Amino acid sequence: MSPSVKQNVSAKHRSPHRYPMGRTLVSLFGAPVAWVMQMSLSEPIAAYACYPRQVPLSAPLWVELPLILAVISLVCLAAGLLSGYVAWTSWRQIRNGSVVITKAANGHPDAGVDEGQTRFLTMLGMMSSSLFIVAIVFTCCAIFLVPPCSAWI
Amino acid sequence: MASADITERPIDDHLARVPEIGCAPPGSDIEVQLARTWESEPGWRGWLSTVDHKAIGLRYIVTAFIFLIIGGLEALLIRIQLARPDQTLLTPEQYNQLFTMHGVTMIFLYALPILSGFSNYLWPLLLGSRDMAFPRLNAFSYWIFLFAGIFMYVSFPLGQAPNGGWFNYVPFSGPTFNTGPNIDVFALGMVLLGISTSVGSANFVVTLFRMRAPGMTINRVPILVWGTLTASVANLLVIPSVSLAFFLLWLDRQMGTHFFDVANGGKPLLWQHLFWIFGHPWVYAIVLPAMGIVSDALPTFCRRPLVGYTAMALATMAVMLIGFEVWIHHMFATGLPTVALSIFGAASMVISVPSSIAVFAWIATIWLGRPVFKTPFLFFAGFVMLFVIGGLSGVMTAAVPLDWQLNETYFIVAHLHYVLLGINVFPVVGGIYYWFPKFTGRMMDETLGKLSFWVMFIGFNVGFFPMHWAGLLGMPRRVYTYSSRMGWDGVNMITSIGSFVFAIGVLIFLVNVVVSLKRGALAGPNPWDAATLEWATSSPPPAYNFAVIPTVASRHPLWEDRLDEGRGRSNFKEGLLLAEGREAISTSPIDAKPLAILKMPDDTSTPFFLGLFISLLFVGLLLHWWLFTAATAIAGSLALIVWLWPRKALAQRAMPQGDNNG
Amino acid sequence: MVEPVQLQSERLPVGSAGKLSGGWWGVQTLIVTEACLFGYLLFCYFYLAAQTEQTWPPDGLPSLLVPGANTLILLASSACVWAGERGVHQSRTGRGIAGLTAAIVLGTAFVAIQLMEWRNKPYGMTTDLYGSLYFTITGFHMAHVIIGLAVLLLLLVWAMLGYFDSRRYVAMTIGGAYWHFVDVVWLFVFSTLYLFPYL
Repeated sequence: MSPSVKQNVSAKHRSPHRYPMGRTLVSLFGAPVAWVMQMSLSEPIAAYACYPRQVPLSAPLWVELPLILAVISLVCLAAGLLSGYVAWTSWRQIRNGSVVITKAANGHPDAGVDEGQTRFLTMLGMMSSSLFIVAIVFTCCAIFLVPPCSAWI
Repeated sequence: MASADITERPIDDHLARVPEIGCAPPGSDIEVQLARTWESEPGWRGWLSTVDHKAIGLRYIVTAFIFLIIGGLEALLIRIQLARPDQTLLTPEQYNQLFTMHGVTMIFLYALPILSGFSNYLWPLLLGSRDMAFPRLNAFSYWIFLFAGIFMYVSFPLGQAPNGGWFNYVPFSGPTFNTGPNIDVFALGMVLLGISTSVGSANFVVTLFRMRAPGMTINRVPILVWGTLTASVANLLVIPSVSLAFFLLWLDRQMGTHFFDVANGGKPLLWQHLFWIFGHPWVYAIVLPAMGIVSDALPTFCRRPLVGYTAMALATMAVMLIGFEVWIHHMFATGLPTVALSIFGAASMVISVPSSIAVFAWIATIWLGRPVFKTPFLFFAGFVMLFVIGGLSGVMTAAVPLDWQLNETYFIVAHLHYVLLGINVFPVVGGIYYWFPKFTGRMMDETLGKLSFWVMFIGFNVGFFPMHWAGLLGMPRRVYTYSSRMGWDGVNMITSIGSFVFAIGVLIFLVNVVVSLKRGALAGPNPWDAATLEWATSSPPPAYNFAVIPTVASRHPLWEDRLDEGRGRSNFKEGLLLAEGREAISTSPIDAKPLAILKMPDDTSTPFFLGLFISLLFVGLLLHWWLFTAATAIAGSLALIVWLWPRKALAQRAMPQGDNNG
Repeated sequence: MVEPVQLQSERLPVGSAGKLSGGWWGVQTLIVTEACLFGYLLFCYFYLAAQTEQTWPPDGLPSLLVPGANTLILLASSACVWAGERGVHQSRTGRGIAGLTAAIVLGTAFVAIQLMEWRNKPYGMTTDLYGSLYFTITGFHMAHVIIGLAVLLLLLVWAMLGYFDSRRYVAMTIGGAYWHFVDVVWLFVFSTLYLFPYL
């Protein structure tokens, strides 16, 4: 066996010159975190405002409840869109090759060659952002369409 | 060959060295040495002390399957009772205990442990590693699971089994209405089982990020690994919730605290929140790895790679992430305010997006491939259909008004069985057909296999589809009998017949297993001509898994030549040898570059004893034997100290120059 | 024909090498899951407190002096563990031993003061809902402190046996991380039980 392909998994140069980790993290987790925030803030506020103790109320505890919920939702939507934008630009940069994601370090031609993981992570970020922006919009629908403290029947 | 080079080495080899690269064909010195290092001692001692992930994985699978059979027999008893109106085979109390134990057994003692079994067996093989990151913890996790299972069944023969349903709502399960030991057994058993699940999950998470073969970058990891990883991360985050809930309930029942005590300001809904914060992610934890089984095994029978790898990886993680924020859809009928419910209804519907992505990826894989209709393929294709049916009824119940109509009826029972049997049992049985040659070195019988599939599939649909109808007719779940004037006679009879047909299908499968173990055709390393790493080693694999750690060059290491992708080919002949004692390679989380040579622990019975002492501690708590509890706590601590004691052999201790024979 | 890839290797650390060790990763998963446990405990507190119709806490606002001082003691013990670990890293085992000893003394003082605090409460675990919450949450934390003290004691024994040097001391890092976690969690418990009622 005479190996002619030089190795891409060399232990040298442990960190290939990767696309900035911060941007990757934002595009991967930005929208999900925004959605989780939207859910975890809206839920207790909406529940408590209409049913603080032993009996349900017919009107919310605070008059501004719809406004509070709307602000939370819009802020989270904006955060989701922002992370979606980051994901989108990262993806375009990687796709067009306008950002060199792997550099030959220290003159070793094969060291730190990217094996597609950067492309994979950016793609994952794009998909994750789109899905969770949809999720934020879904939650917004619930918040804007259902009147607070309304009776079900 | 590198065996000659490694005799000369620098003196401080025990703290850092250049790992040897070479070949180790079967029968070579290195291969023999590896076998000697990694094989467990024969006899009961070796059996008790082994930390081999393959032995542990198989134990998990067998034990969980035994629990499946027990739970199935309970279900059959229930179905006999419900086959006709006004039956008196079971008393209401017996019926309560049976349906509770059926649920507990299936959800907690079968569904996740069997997947842990698959993952334990397969992960190091899929990832090209010698073992899991924490072999001893792995053994410990199995022993605790076994003991917790036994613990939850101790009161069953006494007629005092848990009787509050698997989600065990207060106040019915509180001290006022449920005075026997039934619920205490359940509560403490669940805390005990939680220990097993948590440490198992920690092991999976760390294994993924550290134990992959060089070159297996994050975008080349099999989907099963994504599934189990996601499930494990979720378990780490939510198991504390249910353990705490059961512990607080036990405090309420035995110590007189007031967490769920309405008369003193406690809230029954606190139980429901804590339980379902855990419960819903758990539902995904017991299906995502099974979906991973399909995503990895289905392509083998379609003769092409999975369509949409990245989308599938994302769908897996997204389902779980959304799954954290939907628990209130189990509480739609509790009187929470409208907006609060609608938010969770909306979130529950979002789950259909990633689920559909997964379904279309499987369908596209079949569509674009050249399907080979072997038994595993049938199970996986059947799974896709059942997943769609179960998913559809799931979207229906995500709508709050419809859920009000359907809540606590047989419609929900139908939905959850479609989801859990469809997405867990079918992939698992298909997975056993698929990996049986790897487990045992023998093929399973195809004729019996196909027969078992069709009997199971028909029995399942005959049994569970009419339940939708029973639910729409208004039949509530968990009633021990019904009057014939309700008009539920026909559907119930059909369901009962279907359930027995399904059971016959499982029986045929079990017969197949027994027959094939003895007489199955011998399987080579890769009988299905599959693509992933586990098929690169012999069947069954040697104790050390891979004599040479594979160097991976693509997502489909065994299909590279025919797919002709990538710049290089995976290397199975020449690579890291790591033969100085039990060793494994640790690689970086994303790029899978070698970072360190890990010293792996030898076989030890400490995990068994630690598991035993902890389990006895729970027996002490159950019986209020406080001195006994204290004694077992001390014994457990001593076992833990023995376990953690820094060892020279594992290079955990300072070693003066020249003293490296620890 | 494309050739198989060839691995090139450089010198790699062997065994439990600091943060490359399995134990370091393991303790992080432990910390995550334990942090969740305390998160759920505090969730119980806020969930029940938000809906209560009693005065909260029923016996009036808690005194801050002793628990505040105790918090400082616990934080000081964390600093000692940190200094001890640094000492071992710099091959000054004596400093490591001193740091651990000081941390154990401070931790024990915390336990003693907390026990006194428990005894001075006019209510018990079963008196009312608040009592159940108070004693369960602080009880959980106390159990973690005691386990942490046992860990520190073990580290002290190992340090005295000469098991650690500047290259191999990962047990100190792991045990130290657990102790820091126990201390940080106390800040949350303290804020919830002692400071939150003042809001």
